[in-house]
Amino acid sequence: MTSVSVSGTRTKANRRSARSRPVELPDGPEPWGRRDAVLPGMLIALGVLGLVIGWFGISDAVALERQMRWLAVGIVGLIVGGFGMVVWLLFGLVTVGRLRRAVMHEIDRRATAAESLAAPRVQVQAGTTGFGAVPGMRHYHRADCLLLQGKPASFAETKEFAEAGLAPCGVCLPADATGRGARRA
Amino acid sequence: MDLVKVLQAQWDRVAAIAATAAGAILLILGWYHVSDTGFVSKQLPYIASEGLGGVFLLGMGGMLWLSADLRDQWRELRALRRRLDATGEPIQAAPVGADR
Repeated sequence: MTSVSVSGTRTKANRRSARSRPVELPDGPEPWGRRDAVLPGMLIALGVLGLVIGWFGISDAVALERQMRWLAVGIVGLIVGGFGMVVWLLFGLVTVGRLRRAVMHEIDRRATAAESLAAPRVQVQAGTTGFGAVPGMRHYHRADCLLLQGKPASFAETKEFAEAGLAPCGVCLPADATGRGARRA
Repeated sequence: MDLVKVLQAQWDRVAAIAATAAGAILLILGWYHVSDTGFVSKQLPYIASEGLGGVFLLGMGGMLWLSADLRDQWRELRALRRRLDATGEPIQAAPVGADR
């Protein structure tokens, strides 16, 4: 039996493909499109209407009980109008946030790419013997020391580093020239 | 700088200031009118018109001012996006959860 997907129904597969599709970023002159203005505009207009109706109603009523009812209409109008304003701002915040995230993500991606191009990294394999240091360092390390990982290190014997005035690393403790060192258990 | 140009460029902030000022004036007028009469049934119409109207206009002023700030942010980000688009591939939306 074949399954027929009816257009418009929200199946799991539809939702999954919609999530993986690249989202179009809005590119209008303002963060709000025309569609975004409909709901807040309607709510604010309803709010103004409620305020005006409440005002007219309360002006005509004499009995306190009836006045209270019209006052309630006005208060509801105020709440609805305020909600419309909040919705308007939320729509704008969401759109600006999406563009900000996209721009920051792109800047981050390009900066990372530029960094990796500028500094060719020497990947020290685990188990490599010998000792290394990076120009500018004050300590020399075991080849598999985490402080050397991903850095353009040059390798030599401990004696040469000691003659150059470098101290052994306090983390990997390359004290022994044979390579076994005095590493803590 | 030409005042007309400033008003055209910053219309949203001008409207925000006008709405806030109108709201504040309405509230002061409402307070004045309410304090002038001792009958609750005479006070309520002022509360409904000037009180609620004043609060609504104050909210409107705040919303317009924040909208203006959002527009400024949008323009700056859009300009940045244009520059990035011009020097590489067009920007796509960031993956969900990125840069939060």
